[in-house]
Amino acid sequence: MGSLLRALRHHVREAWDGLWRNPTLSLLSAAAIGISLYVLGLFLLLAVNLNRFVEDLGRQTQVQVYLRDEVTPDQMRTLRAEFASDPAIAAVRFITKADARSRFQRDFPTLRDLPQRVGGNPFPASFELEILDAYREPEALDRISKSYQKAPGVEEVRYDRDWTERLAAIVALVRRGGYGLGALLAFAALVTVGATVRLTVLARREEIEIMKLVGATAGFIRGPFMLAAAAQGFAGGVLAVAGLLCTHRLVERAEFFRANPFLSIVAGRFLPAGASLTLAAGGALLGIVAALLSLRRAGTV
Amino acid sequence: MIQFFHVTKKYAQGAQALTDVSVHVEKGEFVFLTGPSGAGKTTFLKMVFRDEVPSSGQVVVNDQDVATMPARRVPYLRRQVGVVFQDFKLLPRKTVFENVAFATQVIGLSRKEQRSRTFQVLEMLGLNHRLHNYPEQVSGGEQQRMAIARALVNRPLILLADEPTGNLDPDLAREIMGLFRDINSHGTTVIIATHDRDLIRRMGRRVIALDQGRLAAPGAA
Repeated sequence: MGSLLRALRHHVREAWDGLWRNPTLSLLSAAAIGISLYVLGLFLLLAVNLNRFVEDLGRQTQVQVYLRDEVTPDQMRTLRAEFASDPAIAAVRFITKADARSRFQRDFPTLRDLPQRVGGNPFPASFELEILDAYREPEALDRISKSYQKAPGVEEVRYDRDWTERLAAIVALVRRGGYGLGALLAFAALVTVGATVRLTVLARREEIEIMKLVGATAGFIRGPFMLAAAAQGFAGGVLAVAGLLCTHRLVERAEFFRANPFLSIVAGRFLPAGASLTLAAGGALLGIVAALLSLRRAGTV
Repeated sequence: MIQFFHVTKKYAQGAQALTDVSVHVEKGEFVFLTGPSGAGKTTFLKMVFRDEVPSSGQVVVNDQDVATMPARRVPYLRRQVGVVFQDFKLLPRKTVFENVAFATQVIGLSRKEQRSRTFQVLEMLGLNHRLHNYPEQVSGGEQQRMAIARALVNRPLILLADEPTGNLDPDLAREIMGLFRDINSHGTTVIIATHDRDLIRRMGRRVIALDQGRLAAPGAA
């Protein structure tokens, strides 16, 4: 126990010395990791918010069953009975032709007199079906719409599936793009940190050589380098999260950004705490991996 | 303690440093390793602390085959072998005290133990008035003694010294030899590589002679 603590103290002290021996280089490493994680985080932020947007949209998903004008009360009764026994349907609202017209006039005030001009009321009556959460995926919605398509008295069944699906695809694309770009930048960071470690190793080659000759274990020699790289990585990760937070605030506050509907989506919500922590920890991990690869390649131990 | 069985060492460039060398050194022995420059003395020593491995044959140190030893065991072998390098290998940016204490730190001794052992060995070697000097501020003889101090501070089973009196005047050389004898009398196996025949004659100990990488006839030195 005592020797473990001693080794730890040695690692920390040596790592600290190593970091301050060449502060510019240390800063560069931290910055390289920070930038790669910042970009990755930016895409994650975008994906998180787009995803939320898609989910909100999904929650509003309704199925509209438009009725023929000549629908009979009997057909309506049959439809209502079917809706009531359908486990996917949470609620049913009947929209009369008059309701539909006034809704149109409310939504498009400039076109208020359009119905009169086309002769009466062109809007069909409809049932709006609110779908239970469990049935809000494309296949279920498809099944529901098909089952009422052919029912007597039904003109058409519609739901906003295409929209939802397209948005979900965009979210996936954004996320994948973010991962790709993040991976690319992480690789660049790996190279930068690796080079820093190698330079530090070279500067201390003599000392390391002697350490090996007097019986230092590989862990004892590597420890400080790994710890220093982990610290640089963690600092980079923290910087990235701070940068993301600033960006998020800026977008949220600035009129210019809020006016843009796309950017306003990004401003919606910050990364969950877990993701922020993961970014910072990811920085530390990146540093350790870079140091490990570099120490291997340098053939130090 | 140290056994060489038909050891041959070829370097990548094709040079052959040792050829079919078989030697046993018993625990607690004091042995001189001699021969002209390039005879393979340094290679011989390096094999004992596994800085080199044989191309063929076997080197056994303290019952461990050094060639097949896993890399993670090597540090523990080296802790049993103190080495005084010909070029000393001192760290220029560390003081006399730090250079010696360094070796104790590496093997994970407590702070207190590091200090007491370092002071003890520096006192034994007459360097206790030089604790805070840097290597470049002390004489060649004192640097030599620093190197010896570092080799001894971890109380090795085996002490190897490569030309330890090369830079010293005869009085100092005698003094250092006396020191090695003392260390040996406490049970440490000592091997000293030197081409100083006067020294060898005076000491009257066993001699392993190498010539162009081969074991020379006993007494030929």
